[in-house]
Amino acid sequence: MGWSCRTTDRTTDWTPGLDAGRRLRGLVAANLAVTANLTLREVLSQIVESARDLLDSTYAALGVLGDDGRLAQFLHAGLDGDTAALLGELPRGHGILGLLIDDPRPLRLHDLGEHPASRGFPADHPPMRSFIGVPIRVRDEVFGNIYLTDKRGGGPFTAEDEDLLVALAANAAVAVDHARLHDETTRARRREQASTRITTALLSEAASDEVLRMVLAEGRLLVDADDVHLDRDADGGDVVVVRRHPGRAPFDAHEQETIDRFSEQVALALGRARARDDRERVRLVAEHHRIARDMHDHVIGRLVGAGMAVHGLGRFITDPDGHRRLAAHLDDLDAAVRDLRTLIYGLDEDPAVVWSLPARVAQVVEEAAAHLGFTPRVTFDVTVKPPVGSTVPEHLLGVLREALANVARHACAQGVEVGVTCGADRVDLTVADDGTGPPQQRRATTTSGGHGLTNMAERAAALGGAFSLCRNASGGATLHWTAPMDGGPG
Amino acid sequence: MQTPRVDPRAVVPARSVVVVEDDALVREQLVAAMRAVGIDVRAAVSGVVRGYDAVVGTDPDVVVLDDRLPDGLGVDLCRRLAADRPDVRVVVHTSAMTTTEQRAALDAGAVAVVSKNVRPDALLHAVLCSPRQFPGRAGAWKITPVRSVHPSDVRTKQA
Repeated sequence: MGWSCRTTDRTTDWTPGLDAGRRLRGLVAANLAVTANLTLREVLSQIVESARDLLDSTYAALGVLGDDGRLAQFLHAGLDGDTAALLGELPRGHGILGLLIDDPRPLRLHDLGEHPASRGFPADHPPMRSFIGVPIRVRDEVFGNIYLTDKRGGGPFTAEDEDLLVALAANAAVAVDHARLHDETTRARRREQASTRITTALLSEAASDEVLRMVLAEGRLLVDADDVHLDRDADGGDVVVVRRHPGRAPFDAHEQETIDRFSEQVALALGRARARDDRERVRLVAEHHRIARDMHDHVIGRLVGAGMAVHGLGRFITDPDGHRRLAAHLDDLDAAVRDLRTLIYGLDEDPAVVWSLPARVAQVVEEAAAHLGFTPRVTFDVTVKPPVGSTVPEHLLGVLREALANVARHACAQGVEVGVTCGADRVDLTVADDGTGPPQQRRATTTSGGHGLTNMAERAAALGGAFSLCRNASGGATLHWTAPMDGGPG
Repeated sequence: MQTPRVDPRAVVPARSVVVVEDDALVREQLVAAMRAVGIDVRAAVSGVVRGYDAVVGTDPDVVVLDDRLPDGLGVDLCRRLAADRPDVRVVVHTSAMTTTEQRAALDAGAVAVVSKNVRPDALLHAVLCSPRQFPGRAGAWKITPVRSVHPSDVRTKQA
C-alpha cells in the first residue's frame, strides 16, 4: 500500500485490544472536556490537548480555515515555547496540510517526508514521521482540521486512532458551533450595550468633547477593535479610523455594517459637539458684548469723569513737584482708559481725534494760506461720502497739500479755487490758480515742483485714476486729479 | 489758570459752545476746561431734547455731543442739528472710538469725532480747530477754512 492509508484498509489493522474500554472512556472524557468550555478559543485549545492525549501522539495541532481557504489560525500542542518561537511564522496550509484542505477527508501517513505533496520542514522544525489529519465539519462546512504527528512508541496511527479522532472531531464540531453561538451572543450583547451607551452619551448633557470621547471608546467594544480614533482625510474631512492589530481576523461583512452605523453616530456626536461649541462661542460673544456695553456705559464714563475731576484739581496745586506727580497719575489714568477701550472694542489704535474729510481739506487749505498770503476758496460737492477706512481721502489730501505748495512756490498767484467732488464711484480734485501758468516740461523734471507733479501722477496711477495740469485760457493753471472711489491697494 | 500757549500767527476766534453730556461730573469738568481756555460755554445740558433746545436757543459755533444720552444717541441729535442748524459744527465726544461709531458720527454730519480722555486737550483742539461750515448742497459737509491753532498749542497748565 506504500505510503497511503486512506482508510479503506480498516479491516486489516483494526485490532481491538484490551485497552479498547480505556480508550472509549478516554474519548468520553475528551468529549466532556471539549464541550465544557464556552468560548471558541478555549474549545479549540481543549480539542488539541484532548486529541493529543487520546491518540497518544507527541504533537497535535488545529488549523482554522480562513475566508481565503488557507489557515487563518493555527493552534498547537507538544512544541515547547522556544522551538515554537524559533519556527516563527505558523503554517498557512501548504504541503501536506494543504492536502487535507483541498480534500477534506481523514488522512493517515506512515511518514510525512515520503509523501509527494510534502515540501519538507523548515529549519529548526522537530522531525515528525507518522501523521493523521481529520477535518472538523461544522454545519456542512469545513471549519478546520486536527493534525496529529509522531505517535508515541514510533508506530503509525491505526484505523482505530482514526475512528477515535473522527468521533472527537464530530463532537468538537458541535462544541465549536456552540462556542461560536456563545461568542456571537456575547458579542451581540456587548454590541447592544455599547450601542445603548453611545445613544445615552449622545443624548446626555455632558460636555461635547466628553461625549465624543465616550462614543469613540464604546466603538472599540462595538466591533472588538483595538483602536478607534478620529482623523482627517486629505480634503480635511473627518474620518473614523477603526483598527485591529495585525494578525487578528479582519472585520467581516457584518462588522463592516456595524462600523458604517457607528460612523454615523460619530458624525452625530461631532455635529453635536460643533453645534455646542458654536452655541458656546455665540454665548461668549454675547457675554462679551454685554460686558463691553456695561464697561462703556458705566466704567469708562466714570473713570473718565473721575480722571477729569482729578485733572481739574490741578488748579489748586501750587507746588511744581505736586504738578509733576499729578501729571504722572493722569498719564496712568489715561493709559488705563485707553487700554480698556482697546480691550473692549478690539481696536488696533485709539486716535484722539478723527476729522471729517471736509474738515481735513479745510485744515490743509488753512496751512497753505500762511504761505500763499491769502485763503483759497473751497467748494465741496458731495453726493456720496467716502467710506471710513478708504485710502482715497488720504491721497487726495496729499495731492491737495502738494498742489497748494506748488502754487505758493512757483505761480505768484493772487487767488486759488479748490474744488472737491465726491460721487458714488469717484472723487475729483481741482486746484485752479490765476498765476503764471504750468511750469515748462524741461524744468518740471528738475525742480522740486516737478517731483511734486510726478508724485501726484503716481498717486493717481496707483489708484487707477488720472492726473493733469493745464494752462487756463485766462492765464494760470488748473490741476485736475481723480481716483475711483473704491480705491486701489495702499 | 494760565492761558493756553497759542501760535502767534493763528487767531483764535471767540468760540461759543454748547455741551451735551449726561454724566454730571464729566459735564462739569468739560465746562471748566473750556472756560479755562476762553471758550464761551453757553449751555451744558444732558439729553437729546434739552441739547437740541439749548443749541437752537443759544446758537453756538460748536456743540460737543456725548455719544450716548439718556433719551437717545448723540448721532441722532447730530443729524437733526445738521439739518436744522447747518452752521453749528458738531463734535462727537465718544467713549468708543470704533470704526462704526466714527462712521455713524461723520455720516450724521459731525465735523470731528473725539475720544473721551482724562485730559481735555484733544477735545479743546477739536473745538478750537473745527472749520466753519456753510450751507450748500452737501449740507453739513460744506465748509470754509478758518485760522486754526496747532494741537500742541492747546495746553492747560496742570496737564
